[in-house]
Amino acid sequence: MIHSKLLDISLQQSSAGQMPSGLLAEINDARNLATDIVKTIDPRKFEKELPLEIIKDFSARKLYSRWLPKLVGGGGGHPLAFYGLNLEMGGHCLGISNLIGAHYVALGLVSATGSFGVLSKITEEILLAESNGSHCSAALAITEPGAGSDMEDAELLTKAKVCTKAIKVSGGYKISGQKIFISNALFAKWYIGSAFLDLANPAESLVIFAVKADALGVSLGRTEKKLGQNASPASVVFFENVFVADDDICFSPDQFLNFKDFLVNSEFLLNDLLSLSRAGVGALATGVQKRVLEIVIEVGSKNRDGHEWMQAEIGKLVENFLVSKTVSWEGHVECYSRGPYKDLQHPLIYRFFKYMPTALLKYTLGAILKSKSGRDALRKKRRESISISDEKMIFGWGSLAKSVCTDKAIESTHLALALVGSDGGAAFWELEKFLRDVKLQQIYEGTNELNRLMIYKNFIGDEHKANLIFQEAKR
Amino acid sequence: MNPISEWINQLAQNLSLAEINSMIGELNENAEAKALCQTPVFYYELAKVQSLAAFVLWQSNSPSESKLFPVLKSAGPHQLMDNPMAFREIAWAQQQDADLKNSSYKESDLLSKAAIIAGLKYKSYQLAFDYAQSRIQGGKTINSWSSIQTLLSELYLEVSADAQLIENLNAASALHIISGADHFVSQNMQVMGGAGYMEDYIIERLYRECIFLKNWPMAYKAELMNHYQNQVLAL
Repeated sequence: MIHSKLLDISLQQSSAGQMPSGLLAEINDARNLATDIVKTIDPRKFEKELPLEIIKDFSARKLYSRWLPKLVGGGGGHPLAFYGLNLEMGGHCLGISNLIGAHYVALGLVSATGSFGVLSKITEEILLAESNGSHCSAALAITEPGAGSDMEDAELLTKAKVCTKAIKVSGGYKISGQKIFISNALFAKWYIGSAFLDLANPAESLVIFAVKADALGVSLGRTEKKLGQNASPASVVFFENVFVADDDICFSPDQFLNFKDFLVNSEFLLNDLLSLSRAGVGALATGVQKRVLEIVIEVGSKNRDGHEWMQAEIGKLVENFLVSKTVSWEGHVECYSRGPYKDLQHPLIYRFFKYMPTALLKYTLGAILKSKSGRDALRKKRRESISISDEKMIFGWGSLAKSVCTDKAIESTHLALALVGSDGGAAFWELEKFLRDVKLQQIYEGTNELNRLMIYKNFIGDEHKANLIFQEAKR
Repeated sequence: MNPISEWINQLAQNLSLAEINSMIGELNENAEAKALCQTPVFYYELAKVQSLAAFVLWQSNSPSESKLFPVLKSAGPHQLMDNPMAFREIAWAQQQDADLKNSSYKESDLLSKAAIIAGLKYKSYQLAFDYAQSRIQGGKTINSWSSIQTLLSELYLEVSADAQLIENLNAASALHIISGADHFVSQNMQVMGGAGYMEDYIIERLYRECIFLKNWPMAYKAELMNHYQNQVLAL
């Protein structure tokens, strides 16, 4: 077994600065919750079977609302606590982790737009489902057939070959287009999608919308057959002249009086969402490495534990795991202490939201934020609080956590398979599944190759003409 | 086209396991062809187009008492090439057979395995290369981005070196080919992004086959250590 101290997140507490002590307890609670959730789940079962019973269980446990703000009626869990959940669930099954993770990434985008009215509406449906034994979750519909990594960076978006068009009509927008690789679209009740007023100029015409999965004109295409993460199916989603009312538009140029303000919010919208979700991917990949290490120790102790070379190889796995744990934790702390959620790190604000009754928050401050003026105030606050140096740290650390931890996870799993071998029986096939699952993490949220360019751009670029990045696209 | 090339091309089609077995049976009746098709070069060339057929052929030719081939046969007319789970299921069946550990895995098996893996690596590179020529990102095909070029250039070096090693293969060069094969195929998948993760592009199957072959019938690290301790150090 791994020494318990190695898993203790408080080892890196110094990097948390002024983080409220209650938050660390909350992270540990999330870890314990994840341990409890996964103990009865057999991940192999959901390689070929839809995880409907798991979704139902998650809903009964109120996991789909637990980390939504109290301001909209959610459980008020601090988003940083998700680190603990990811760490434990990643070490069990990445596909099952994604059943929750993808939901919060989708609603994280709504939150980042400042559209608390839309968030509130979706949260009400989630709460209702959680109370009546059904389920309600959201899926993020961003990737398109001609634009994958292009959609993950504001600069690349200028050249992206997008196909989902938004047309302004009376009372809302008509959306037409196609999205691919959409995780959990098969059972999500809401899609949070992106569309563009001008397909030739996507970066300056972004529209973010929320639409019900059963809305007229929304249809599911094929469900992809993929290498891993089969518990979290990915599907094609078609939008055929779908009407989305203004109330369900989370973000669009016409919501801004000043177009420049739209461009600023638009650019940082991507940064905010991606840096947080990439750090989360790092935590999941760290969780994988923890389990990989455990498997090799278990098998190694039976077979070749007495061999020094085996001990040295296990030492390499420990190295990778601890480097990943440190980087992913540091990435989380950097992103949450500098980004849009930084106010929630303040001990007084943290306690205010933690101990204030949900109903009181929802019907006072929440009601204000739901209004158009509340939304505009949130966006203005975000624009005014932007510090370029902070943004560079957030985006750089998000990319670093993602690329380091997922590369290490692949490296460790390759090594573990080469240590255990196909004569290792069930251990080999458990490792093989982790490898198939974790491979996706090197690809989604922007490939690691793109993320390494982000590391250069944000950590080095200032001193070495950062504006040269992606110049090859302009030649 | 010589008969062997023609045979390889036939195998490259989506044949069922029963059809592959039938063709291998015909091949075994021709002594000249049988001798030729047991060379690493042949396995390499065959694996470039159909790694599973190369694997089945290797098992049918292997002098070892491996129990894997009978298990493969028992799969019946299973459409192996159409069923991405097949390799895994076969391997699971093989796991039930504890006798495998006692089978006589010989150096010729190592050479055959390395040749198949080299062919599989070549195929994965070819898929990534072709994809990079057609996929557009940032307004250009991705092979015109220098960061993709540098990745592909390293992969190109490796397949080129493999092709040379296959010509005069020995145990050390075989282990060298196998050593980084998993990382190699994984890097080719990176070039293909999300598409490479989907079963539409067979590279995800090549990745699974590579992981399995590298560590079958024993862990790669153990195979390497055995070779070094027994053959080099002569312990």
